[in-house]
Amino acid sequence: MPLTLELPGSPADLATFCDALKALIAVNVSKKSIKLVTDAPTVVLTDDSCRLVTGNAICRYLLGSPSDVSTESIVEFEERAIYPLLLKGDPRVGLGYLNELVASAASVVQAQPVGAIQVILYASSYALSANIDDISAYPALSAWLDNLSALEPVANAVSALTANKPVPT
Amino acid sequence: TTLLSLAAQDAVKSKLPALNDAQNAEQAQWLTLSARPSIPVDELNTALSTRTYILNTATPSLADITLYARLKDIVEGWTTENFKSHRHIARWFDLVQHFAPLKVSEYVAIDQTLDVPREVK
Repeated sequence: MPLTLELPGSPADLATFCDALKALIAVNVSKKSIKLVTDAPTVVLTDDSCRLVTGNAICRYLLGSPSDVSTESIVEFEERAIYPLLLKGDPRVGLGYLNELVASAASVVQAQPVGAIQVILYASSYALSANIDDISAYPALSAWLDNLSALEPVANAVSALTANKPVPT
Repeated sequence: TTLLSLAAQDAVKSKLPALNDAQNAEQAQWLTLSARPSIPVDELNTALSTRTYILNTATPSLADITLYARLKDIVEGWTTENFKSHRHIARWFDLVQHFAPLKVSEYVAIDQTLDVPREVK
């Protein structure tokens, strides 16, 4: 079975959109040959050996897991504190958390080449900020998002998921 | 929680299987999904339909042990119909709770003789 990524044509909610964005950026960054299905009900990556249904797990598989405890703890923070806000709540709360994180963990979020941790945080930040007109109140996050948005694998993924389609609220 | 702490003990730890990249990613996924307020049991049942253990290992992994611990209260409250519609979880659950190093003190009764139609794949 070839490596296959299934994506929903119109993500039902912000969390699903975020998972789709993580997966598509990870595919672009990894440069792996992949079969893309764009009208699936949910986000799923499959091959002979695995079936992954969360964006974070897909990032880990395609880009490698964080290699130290402090970076792993950032992923856990994203899953415990940010993910619930994609389902329900005020996105500005999440953007505040992420702004502090980006400002305080610059060595992790600015690391090159782009890895799983940056893709996970970028997609969450993009999803939370997509329906907010002005994110200048989060200067560290805003500048970091602009830098990553300019990268080709990221820009292509965002473009593919948002062309003529609104980001779910 | 008791089982999770047991998993950290050397007796269990030494018996955890080595994992490849795909299995590590899947393990992280199930640790994430099982920590959510609503554990996706249908997805878990599907994943277990072709595997003895959740990561396709020969013996239980940390993911199996963690899932078992987080599902125990849920499975204890299942009706016969719940077991029938999640037959693969029922089979796997009973297997994990009889994994010797865990020393589970209170087994959940799993009826392995449920009359369910054969699955067509």
